[in-house]
Amino acid sequence: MDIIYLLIPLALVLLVVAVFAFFWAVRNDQFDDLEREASRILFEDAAVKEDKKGADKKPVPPRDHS
Amino acid sequence: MSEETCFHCGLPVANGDHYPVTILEQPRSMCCPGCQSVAQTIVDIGMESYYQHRQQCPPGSSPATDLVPEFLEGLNSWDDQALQEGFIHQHAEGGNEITMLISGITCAACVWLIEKHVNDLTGVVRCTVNMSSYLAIIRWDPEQISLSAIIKAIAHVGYKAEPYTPLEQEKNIKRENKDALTRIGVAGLGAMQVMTYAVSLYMGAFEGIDPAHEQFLRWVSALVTTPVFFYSGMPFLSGALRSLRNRHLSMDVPVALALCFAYFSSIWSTLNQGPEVYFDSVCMFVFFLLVGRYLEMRTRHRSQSTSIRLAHSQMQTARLLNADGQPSLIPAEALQPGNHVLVKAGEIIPGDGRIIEGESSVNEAMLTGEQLPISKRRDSLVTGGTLNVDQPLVIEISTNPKDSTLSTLKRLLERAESEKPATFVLADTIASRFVLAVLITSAAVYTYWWFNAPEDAFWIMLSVLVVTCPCALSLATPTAITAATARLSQMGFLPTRAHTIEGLRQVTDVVFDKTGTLTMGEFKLAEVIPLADLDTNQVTAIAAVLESASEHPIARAFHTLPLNREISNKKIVPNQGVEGTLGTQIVRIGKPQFATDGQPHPELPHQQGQWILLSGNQRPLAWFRIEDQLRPDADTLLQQLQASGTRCHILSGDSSGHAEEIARQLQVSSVVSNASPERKLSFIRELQQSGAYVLMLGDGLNDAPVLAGADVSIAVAGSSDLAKLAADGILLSHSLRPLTDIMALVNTTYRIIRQNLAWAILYNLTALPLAAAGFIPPWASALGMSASSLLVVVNALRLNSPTNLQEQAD
Repeated sequence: MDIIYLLIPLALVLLVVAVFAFFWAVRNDQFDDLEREASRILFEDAAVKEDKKGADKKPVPPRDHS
Repeated sequence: MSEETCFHCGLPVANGDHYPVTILEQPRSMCCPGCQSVAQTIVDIGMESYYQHRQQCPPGSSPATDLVPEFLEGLNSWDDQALQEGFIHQHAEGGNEITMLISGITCAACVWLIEKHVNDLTGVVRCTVNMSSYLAIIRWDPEQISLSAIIKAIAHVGYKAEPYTPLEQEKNIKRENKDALTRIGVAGLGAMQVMTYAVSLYMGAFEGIDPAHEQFLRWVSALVTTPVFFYSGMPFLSGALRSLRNRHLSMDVPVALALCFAYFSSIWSTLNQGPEVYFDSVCMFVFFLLVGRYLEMRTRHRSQSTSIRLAHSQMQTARLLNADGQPSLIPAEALQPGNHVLVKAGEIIPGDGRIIEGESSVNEAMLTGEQLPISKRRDSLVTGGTLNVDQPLVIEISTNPKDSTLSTLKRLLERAESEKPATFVLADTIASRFVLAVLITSAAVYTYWWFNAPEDAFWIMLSVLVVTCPCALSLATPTAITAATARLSQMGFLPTRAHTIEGLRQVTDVVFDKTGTLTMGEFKLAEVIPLADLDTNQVTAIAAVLESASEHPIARAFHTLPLNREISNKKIVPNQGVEGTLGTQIVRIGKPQFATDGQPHPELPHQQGQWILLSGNQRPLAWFRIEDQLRPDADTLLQQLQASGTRCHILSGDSSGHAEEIARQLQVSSVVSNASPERKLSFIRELQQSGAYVLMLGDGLNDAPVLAGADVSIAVAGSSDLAKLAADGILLSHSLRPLTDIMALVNTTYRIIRQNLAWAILYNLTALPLAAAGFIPPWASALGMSASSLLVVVNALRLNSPTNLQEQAD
């Protein structure tokens, strides 16, 4: 069981990494809007991004999507 | 037919009105041209699926009225550089960035619609909408699109956006929220780790463990628990210290005491190979308590930010005239007495003053609740916050904005507010006594065991402290209130104070303001009586074209009608009517004397309501009756309220007899008309003195003191900002129907709270003797405490599911 002398410190290192990752996420407003993100998947948001990349500064004709 | 509702906003479609839009391959009826235009825009930009995904109708914040030309015209001032300065900042990657507060968001579909629509505009780099705070952050290229164009685009899909600068309080809220989250994160991750070590130690205790390994695990647990104790547990420690310093026992005291005992005795055990460590209990305890407090804090923050936003009323601008008579835009707060300002038709008068040029009518509904404009001419006095209706005016500002009438009303409001009964003081004293009882019990248990089994005394006392921690008890109410608040805002009601929900439960009397609350506050055409050879359709068509020239509230009754006549030379005569040329005839509509140009006019058909006359070459053509209509569902609501034994009253500021008529229609016997704000407030006070618990519904600026004075109050959709600020909750929909559902939900909430409290007390009463008898080790008591809290939370969350609510309500 002496392996715990290696594994537990290793787990602690991962713990520290996890805590810092969490701090980073909180500071970067990742937890600001918990309701919006839950339903984002329902809407075709990917289409918006493609539009933005493909036709960045090009006028988008209003009836384009239908 | 009467059951038909608008597909866009959910309001009933009036008989005969028909504004169709084809949505999702079906023709759908809309209630007004505003909804029609918004729905058509949504279809045109290819976002029909908004209607599939949305969870509820928009609150009907009348996009129709927001789309009036003056509103859109007023937006152009946002392109002014000087005005933009305070709101806009340059983004590092180029372009301007602004934060805007969006009103009308109800669900994720709204957010999606706005984001997608704005992102598709040429020149907009990025637009993100936060659904919890209703704030949109928009970055755009000023070379390609103007700010006003963006705001207009948002208005076209039915939402109102206004530039917004976050206040200091709101930044604090955000910081507090992040702080709490990081503390929870540390505690949660730490608890997981320490639990694994604790399990190994328990296993070791049963099956034997190498003392070196045991010691190692204890050291590691201590290492992980230390940041949890000092960082995550700090709010409890400092809270307990503060409460002791103030000589007042809060929940923090036993919590901090248990934490300190458990942590320091474990450290001592680790250093001296003592019998027991409780690091796992410390972490679990901190984690679960923090989660509970976080839930409670979120409700508090939500209601706080709602009130802060309302207080931060939108920035008012004024057109200051310089010596040459050239106007320039400045913020209204910067006005000084003696300044001359230009107020165009359809604009809000920026401050109290005297008219020095021009003649117009002014709508003082904000002040008096009376929708009909009052005629103002040179030297008339005007009040800041009222609306100039027909003609441009030049006004000399007479008082500092600080001393204006508006501010006086605000002060009246503050006074009424300070008299509110403090319901929370009671809850606080009870908690304080409970804590004292816990401390005394623990001390007694410790003393008893010290004499009987000194080696067990410490951990038994620890168990008692942890097990009796009023955790479930303290979570019982806040979690239910949080869940209910979330559900209520989905139903179109926004509670803005902590005690709103509690207050609604106790209501015995409901007092309605008439204009704008029971009625829509906007006029509708009710009756047409042709007087000459033209039939109803013909006279209505002429009237519609004539009135299209005016923005007078009465004229707006005609604005929904189609325009299919040619009338030239349309001219508005302030507070009289409109004149125009139809072929060879001079047609006039408005006050009877104006229409006949001083000639005697026919008798009014009957006295009820407001009549206007249409004439051609001074010959009367038709009478039109204009009426302020009841809000949809007002009668159902009153029936339901009265059936459930709640007394209803109607208060009205006007003296036209309309209030009595409405009361007859709704079968309400208690009516007070012609009431000033002071009279309204004293009416409520009289009710309260006779033992009633009063719910007040109102909308106008003049209702604000009454709203604040009532035990609990609701501002209806379309209320003035001050009324919203004074009220304990805001109704978002134009229909009054949600109110009955709200009452039902409030009752269910209290049933859940009672269940929660019963469970928490039962748990504490059973666990306490067991722990005191030494049957429960500290780790089990932490588990029991957590499980009982979890049960309370899960029970409260049932409020959030609509199906359960239905069953419960039945």
